[in-house]
Amino acid sequence: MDAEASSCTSPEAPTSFPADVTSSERELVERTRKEPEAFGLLYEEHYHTILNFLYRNTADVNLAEELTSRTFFKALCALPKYVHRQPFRLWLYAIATNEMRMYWRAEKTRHSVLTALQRDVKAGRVLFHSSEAQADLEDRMRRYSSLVELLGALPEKYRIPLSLKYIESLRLEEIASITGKRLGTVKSLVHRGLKLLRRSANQKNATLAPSPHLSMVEGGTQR
Amino acid sequence: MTAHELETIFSQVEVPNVVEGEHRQALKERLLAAHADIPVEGVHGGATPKSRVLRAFNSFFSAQRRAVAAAIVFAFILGGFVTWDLLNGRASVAWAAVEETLQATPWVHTINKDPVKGTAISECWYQSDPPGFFMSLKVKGSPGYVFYADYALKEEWVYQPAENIVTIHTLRPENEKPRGDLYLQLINGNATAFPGLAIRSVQRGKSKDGITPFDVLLQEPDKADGRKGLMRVWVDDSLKLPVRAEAYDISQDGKQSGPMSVCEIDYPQSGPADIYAAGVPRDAKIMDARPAKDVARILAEYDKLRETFPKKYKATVIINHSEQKNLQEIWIVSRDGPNYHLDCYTQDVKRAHPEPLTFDEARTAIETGTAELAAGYIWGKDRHVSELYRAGKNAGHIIMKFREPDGCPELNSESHIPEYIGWPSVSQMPAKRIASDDLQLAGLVGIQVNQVNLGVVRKDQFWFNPQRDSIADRRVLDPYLDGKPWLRTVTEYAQLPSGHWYPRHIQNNLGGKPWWDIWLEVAENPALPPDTFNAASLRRKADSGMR
Repeated sequence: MDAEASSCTSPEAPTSFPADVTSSERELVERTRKEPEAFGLLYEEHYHTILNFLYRNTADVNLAEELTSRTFFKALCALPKYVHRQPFRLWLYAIATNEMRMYWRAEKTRHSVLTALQRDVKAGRVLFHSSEAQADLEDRMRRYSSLVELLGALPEKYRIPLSLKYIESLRLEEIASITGKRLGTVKSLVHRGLKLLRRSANQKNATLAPSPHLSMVEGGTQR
Repeated sequence: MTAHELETIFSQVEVPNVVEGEHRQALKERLLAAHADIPVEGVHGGATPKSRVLRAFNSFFSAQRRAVAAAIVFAFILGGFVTWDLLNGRASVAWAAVEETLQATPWVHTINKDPVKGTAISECWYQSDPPGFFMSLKVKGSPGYVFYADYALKEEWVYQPAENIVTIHTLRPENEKPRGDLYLQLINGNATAFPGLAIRSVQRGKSKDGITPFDVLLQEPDKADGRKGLMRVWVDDSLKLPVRAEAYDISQDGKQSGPMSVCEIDYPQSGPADIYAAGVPRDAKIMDARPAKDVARILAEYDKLRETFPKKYKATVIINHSEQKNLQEIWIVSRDGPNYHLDCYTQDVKRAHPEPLTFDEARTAIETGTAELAAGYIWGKDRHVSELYRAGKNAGHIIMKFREPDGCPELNSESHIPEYIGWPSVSQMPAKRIASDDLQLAGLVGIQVNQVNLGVVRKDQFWFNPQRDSIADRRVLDPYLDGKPWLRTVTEYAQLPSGHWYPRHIQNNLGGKPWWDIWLEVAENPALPPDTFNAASLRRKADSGMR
């Protein structure tokens, strides 16, 4: 805990973001400054989002929990510096993204996403909500792992916007707020990132599409 | 694949969700506890709650500040002695309580990690009653090697992923003691990291955040300068159970190594019910290697006879190679209990048809310097070090240190250690009794072991001679090399004054052709020079000429 508390740093303020912070959230954050219970409410609201965001970018439940802890401790430390220029959720995303960057830079080795995923699914630590049949589940894991591994191979500056856009389904304006970049820059990064990803997928002949028999059964997407 | 197609795929891939566990609530509690100490901007001047209380206290009692300060100092000194123990964690958990709680715990689960990379190497479950132990190695591919020891039935199950085979056999001697990493490391001081060490002292550190660190010093029993190791253990005060342990080696000059092993520990209510629950596929082939009762008895007796061979001797071993007739190899082996001194000499006899050396000729060749000193080993229970000196182009002196007492392969060599020349090791794989009509094998006890290596089955046949201390009179390994069988036959026996038998001559044939032979002469209870097992004398020999 000490290490977490002593390493408090505030994320950079976003450069541009439309002020759509709701009044209730503003009120809650203000209460947080005085009441620990209010911070508990914010925590309850955002824990799931941040944990899953970190898991989807690390493919390791334990690590995601550790980074989630760091994210919330840093948020707690930086709370006095928080200004209502962006929603609290995006501010947390920004801290979590920084934590993830630091981890990526320190940890160069990459493990097999599929192996880790199979292990975590088997252990009941990770769920695919729509999976029922075993073959179906295996296929979902394979597709998801291929995608995450392709993303993981991209340079960081492309990986984060793509992950935020396509895995977290955030808007470009929100990504700009999280990454602290201009909207135009983010659009450009997403465009170039997709191009790189496409090239990489073609080179590796990655199997991102569902198995033919599953496509026929499902007929589409489930998220 | 176009960008649009890629976007479509992105939208079709289902994203998994983490199943939230205890972490959520635990983190919340830690955050709320920490909240009180975080400076809050805009409220009370950004002071912490603690400093706000002090400020209020000071302003209200400003007139009496000095008196109050004096009272605080007095109270601090008075209470210091009482609070000192608390501040130093002495009110926290005691080691004896940890031991007690640990022994009452039904299951211990450890994840052992690479101390440098932090990656998981193995995962272990230890069950206290009935005692059992599972170990699953974290290797590439899934599942990896899995080991299960059932101490009640004295059986071990080993899963080899490359061959997808589960082998069941009786517990090998090195696995006979229950092997919970934690029990061995913390309680018995007999860890895989520190074999043979016992707990010498336990020092408790200061408790912080409900966790108390302990330094457990381990040392070889009954030896002031014996090998030392340190286990650093972090104990959860509320559980009274260790949650993390690190092992460090301590050198003779007291220097502490970096962590040799790191393990994270938890205490589940249950563990794997069987080897399959530890990840072994159900379709794995089973090889039941548990010996039949009579085979087990025969093998136990065979091993016992090797162990009862005299422990003080000086042996001369001459090895003649059929394919290199000019090369003669002479080993002088001195043993006194756990201490061994091995010297190896070679002699290049430049003759067209060299006759095998007699023992006297071999000793003369060494004394006159005709035979060249090639290698030597000093080996003892106290110092598991092998020292090798070599002549010729690669002349030099190499010191090899072994962690395990039986780590030196030279010590169980069936080519130059008398007890292994007579009683070579028998594999722990499936064994069965065999019989033969061959008159040469009459009166011998036959055992066959099937070895499987990379899908190739090798038959190992042993024929023990009950009239000669069950020495392996004949052994056939088929196939051994290039598909050819290796036949090893004792052609001549000798007896020591104490009554023990040993093989005086052994002939080895490969594929029906002479390969190499061994001549052995053993002197029992010889007078050995006092520096026989002194490594310094070996070095002097190595440094003085390297003939």
